[in-house]
Amino acid sequence: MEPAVGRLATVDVAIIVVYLVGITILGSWIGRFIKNDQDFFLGGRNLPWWAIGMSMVVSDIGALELVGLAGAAYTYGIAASNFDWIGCLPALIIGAFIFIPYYWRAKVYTVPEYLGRRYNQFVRTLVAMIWGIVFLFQLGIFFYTSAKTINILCGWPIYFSILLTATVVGIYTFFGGLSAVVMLDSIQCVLLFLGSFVLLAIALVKTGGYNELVETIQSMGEGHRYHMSLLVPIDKPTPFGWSGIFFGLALVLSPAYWLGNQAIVQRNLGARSERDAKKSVLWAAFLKLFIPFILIGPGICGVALYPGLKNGDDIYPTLISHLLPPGITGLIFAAFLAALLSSVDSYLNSATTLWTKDIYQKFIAPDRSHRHYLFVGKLLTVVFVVIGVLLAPITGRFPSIFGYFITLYSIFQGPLFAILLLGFLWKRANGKGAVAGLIVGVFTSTVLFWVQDLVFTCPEPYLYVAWWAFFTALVTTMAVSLATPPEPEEKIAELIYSTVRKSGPAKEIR
Amino acid sequence: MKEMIGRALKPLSDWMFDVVLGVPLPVVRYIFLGLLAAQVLWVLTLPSQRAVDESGNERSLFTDLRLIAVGLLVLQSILYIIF
Repeated sequence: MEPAVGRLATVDVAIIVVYLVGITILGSWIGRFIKNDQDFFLGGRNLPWWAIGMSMVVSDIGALELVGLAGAAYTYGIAASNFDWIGCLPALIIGAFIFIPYYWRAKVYTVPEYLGRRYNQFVRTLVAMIWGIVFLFQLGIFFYTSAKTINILCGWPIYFSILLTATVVGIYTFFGGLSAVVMLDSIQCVLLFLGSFVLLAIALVKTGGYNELVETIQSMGEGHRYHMSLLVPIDKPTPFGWSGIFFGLALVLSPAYWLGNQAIVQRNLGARSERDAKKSVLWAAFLKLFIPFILIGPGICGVALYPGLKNGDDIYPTLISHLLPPGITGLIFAAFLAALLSSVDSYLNSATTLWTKDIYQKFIAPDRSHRHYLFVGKLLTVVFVVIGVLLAPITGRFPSIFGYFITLYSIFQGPLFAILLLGFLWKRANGKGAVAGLIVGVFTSTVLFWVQDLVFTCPEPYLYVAWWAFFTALVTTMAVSLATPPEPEEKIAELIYSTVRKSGPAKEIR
Repeated sequence: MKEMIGRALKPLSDWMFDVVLGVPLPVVRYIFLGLLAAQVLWVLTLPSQRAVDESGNERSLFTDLRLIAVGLLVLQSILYIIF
């Protein structure tokens, strides 16, 4: 198959090579400052807030999202923006003032560690195992799907792209840990914004400007009636009907992701102060406001410029190949690689942290030196890169595995968020309730996915499944907690919102 | 088994679908804006988030993180009013 972008010009290849070599060297150089496990896993709790915020944003955008968001906008319209607006800001604001400060004050390394202190060690281990295994599979899927996308874009062999990605990310994450991940992510964020903005500007000029674009789309008939609307009725053939967006995304999946996903939260734990941790989240929320414009905007322009594509996901490579001159293509491709690498490095570093702190340190070798855990963290980084590379081709043998995996992901996101939320807000919630809530929530989502074609009217009902799994987990946790003895007051005193709120926010002196 | 569970849940699913379908889109917009407005009110009830100087005095209002949060929520509300 002919690659969508075709052969890259020499100047484009030069830009990409300089970028990849540059971040590898820079990441390795940052490694000179890594002396112990806290430096490696949490950046020595000395990471600047602006870099953390930028890292949060780009870690959320992988290669698939870059192509997929433009494709979703092309096919379904700007309703795809909900994932970055209502499916992001409310959760981040709550995170900035409730969750992140308490994680930071508790001085934990991982979200399961917090749950262990709040409930019990069984809950901690259960959640750590779930995330630890999911992250490993996710690495394989990231490697494969990214390589596949590069193959479609410019024809690079899949195995070459897998090994290139694994080598670059592996080297800088091995040497630099979270510090390298966050600092390089901030560079990648600038590149992603710059490249995407250039693509949007060129596409918008080609359409004749915003007003012309809207008129063209509105003249396309009933099929495009809601293309420029964030809110879509639920009886339209779209996965982005308003009720799923509101209940499933805004109230469950978004907070579950932004407040409970170790790969996202870990960088906040490395902030210099509690106030810096809050600032980083608000900065990420600000940057998120622009994502729909620069990533979804090109897809919308594509509706007017190249109508009638059979597969909406083809619009991103189509825009690159038709609109961009040499040099700019290299910039956009570097932005694409930036999106890819920033997701892989975050999940790699977080998988390493989970397995080292929640499994190895807890069960295999407690009370060892900080340098020992640093060694284990680095060793696991290499092991997980190898596992990710080995899992990547297996992913490729099962074309629908990514779809199944997304389903698997949403099976436990809702229940996990339910116990996290109650853990923060309700002092009566206890360990027995949390375990029961997790089991019932996961059972609910599994059954609903099993019978989805008989029960739900819309396609891909994962937003609704997440809502009901969250709801049943919430009710079960509350019921079982009320029926069993509460956790001791002194154990949870510093881990509950109501008690910590009384002491007010930590002050930053400057 | 699958058929049995599906048949049992289908009427409930259909009922909820009809209820949600009956909500007019302008009201839906108010629901989304209401969520953001409720969050603005919640943020304003939080303790001061201003930075303090070395003698413990609070710095200017513009260092209050609540102000930034409210600004972001207002910006997003405008987006949901426009689109």
